[in-house]
Amino acid sequence: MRKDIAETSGKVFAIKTKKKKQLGFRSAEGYLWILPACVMLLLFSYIPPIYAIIYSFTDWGIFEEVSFIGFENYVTLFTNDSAFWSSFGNVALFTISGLLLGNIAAIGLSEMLYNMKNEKLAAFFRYAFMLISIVPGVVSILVWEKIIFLPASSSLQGVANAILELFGLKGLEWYASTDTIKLSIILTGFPFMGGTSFLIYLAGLQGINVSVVEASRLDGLSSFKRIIYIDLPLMKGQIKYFLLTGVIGGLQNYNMQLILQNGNAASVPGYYIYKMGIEYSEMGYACAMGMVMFIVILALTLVNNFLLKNKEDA
Amino acid sequence: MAGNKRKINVPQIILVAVVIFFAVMTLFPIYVMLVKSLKSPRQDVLNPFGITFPFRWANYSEAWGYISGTMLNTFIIAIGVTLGVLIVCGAAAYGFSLFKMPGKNVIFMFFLAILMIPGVLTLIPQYQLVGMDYGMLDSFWGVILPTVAGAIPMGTLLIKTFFDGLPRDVFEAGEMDGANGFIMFFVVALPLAMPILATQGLMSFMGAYNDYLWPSLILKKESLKTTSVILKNLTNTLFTETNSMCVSIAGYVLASLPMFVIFACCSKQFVKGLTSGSFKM
Repeated sequence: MRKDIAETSGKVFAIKTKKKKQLGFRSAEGYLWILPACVMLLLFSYIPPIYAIIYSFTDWGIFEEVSFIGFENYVTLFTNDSAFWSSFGNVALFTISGLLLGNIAAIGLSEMLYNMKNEKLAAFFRYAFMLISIVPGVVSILVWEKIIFLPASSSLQGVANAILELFGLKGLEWYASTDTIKLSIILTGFPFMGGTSFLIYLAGLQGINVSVVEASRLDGLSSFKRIIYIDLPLMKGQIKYFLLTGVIGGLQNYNMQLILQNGNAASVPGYYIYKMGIEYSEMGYACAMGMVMFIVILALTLVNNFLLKNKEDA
Repeated sequence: MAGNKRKINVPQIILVAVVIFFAVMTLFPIYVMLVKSLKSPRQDVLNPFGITFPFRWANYSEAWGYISGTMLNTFIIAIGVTLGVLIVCGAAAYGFSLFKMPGKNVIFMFFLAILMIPGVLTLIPQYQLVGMDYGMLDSFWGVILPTVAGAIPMGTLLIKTFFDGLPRDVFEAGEMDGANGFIMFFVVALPLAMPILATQGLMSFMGAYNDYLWPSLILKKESLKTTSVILKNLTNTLFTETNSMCVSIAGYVLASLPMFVIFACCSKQFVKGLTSGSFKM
């Protein structure tokens, strides 16, 4: 027996080495193929984070001279910068509301399309809901700012205010007022179904064994109960994926603030860093804020990975 | 039997009605954009959200006058980024997948490690590095090269996974025929990888076409700006000049048109691209 194993493993080894030799004799050439990518990464992707670490300990600003100031940026950040921490509150609000609204809408839509008996109609709707994600991001934010959430003070009428007035309510200022800008940002994209995440949920639903669904039907389970007790647990993989990518993406997202250009009332850390580094030229301080964000994101990723692993083992 | 059928149909009809309701709400921004792009300022005041006749097609020619130059800039950048990503990532994926070399896995780990670094950390130093140290302010290279570099980790991983799945015999046969690595790359590897290259190419093109932040930082000269960057200011200036947004909104439609053409031509690849990567702006 042992001889056999030795022999076969020897054979396998021989085949492996043969392959290795065949594909390995041009090994030096392999470096040549990856060289352009390595050079570009070195020049554009590795230097910036190294700069960020080093400069976060300096007073790098508009002046030529840059000197090391130890942890001063970090001390200021943690003890004397309420704007940064309130921007953290805002990003938590936008990320959590976005995750909840976006995922509930996407799961709801995928359930509706999954339960649609007419295949052709379902296919048509799949494209219809995708269509909105084709509009370039800037254009879609501008459509919301300039057409839908146009403030009441404008000489033209916006869609949202027209609807409010239909019900006899007063028009709002939406993005233009510090009172309503946060609500407006949360509501942008209503009803949150357009895009492509519903496709991933739909694929998840279609991956569920038909016999499970049939059995639930025979047991007289209502659609609502089926969604809660069968579909959602079986779509755990997709939900986790969206939660992880949604948290990491949401924490860094400041497109709305950037394009609205009056995002101070709804500032988020990414936008605050952008302002500090680009507009106020406080690059050292901006780098220190970036480091804090990096550590927060890294910690969340690690916690998430840990939770996922634990659940899989259990 | 007939009664049974009707019982099944009623919930279906309600379901379809609900989906139609949400579809209308979802697509309303596109509808209102199209409708307003064809209005005269007067029509926009009298009937802001309905379809009004006659259409004012002149909005489009006026808008084209404002944005055609920026559309050209955007296309040059997007095509440059796409070609760059496909060439650099394709070559790197080929190198990683088919060659045995010491330290290969370590180098690949270094590629993937970059994915852990968030953009909020690197924005400021990268702007200083590319704009000031490399002197690429007001140059398309300053937009194209960092964007290509940013796409290398995911792009290489995607194409490498595809190459890894190919049967090795194909390459061994080529080798026996005496083809060198260069010929093999262009004659064997690239044609086989066409589906994945199309998906990656589409993702890169869309990402670069829709990008806002980086081009707005690097390209300060009016003649070099991209469409996304000028749309907001164009809307504000035209509104103060003419008290109407219809021409700017025609510009929004024109700026969206290339994406709709891509969607119409290759929706399958498009879906793959959207669902396999993040949709960047």
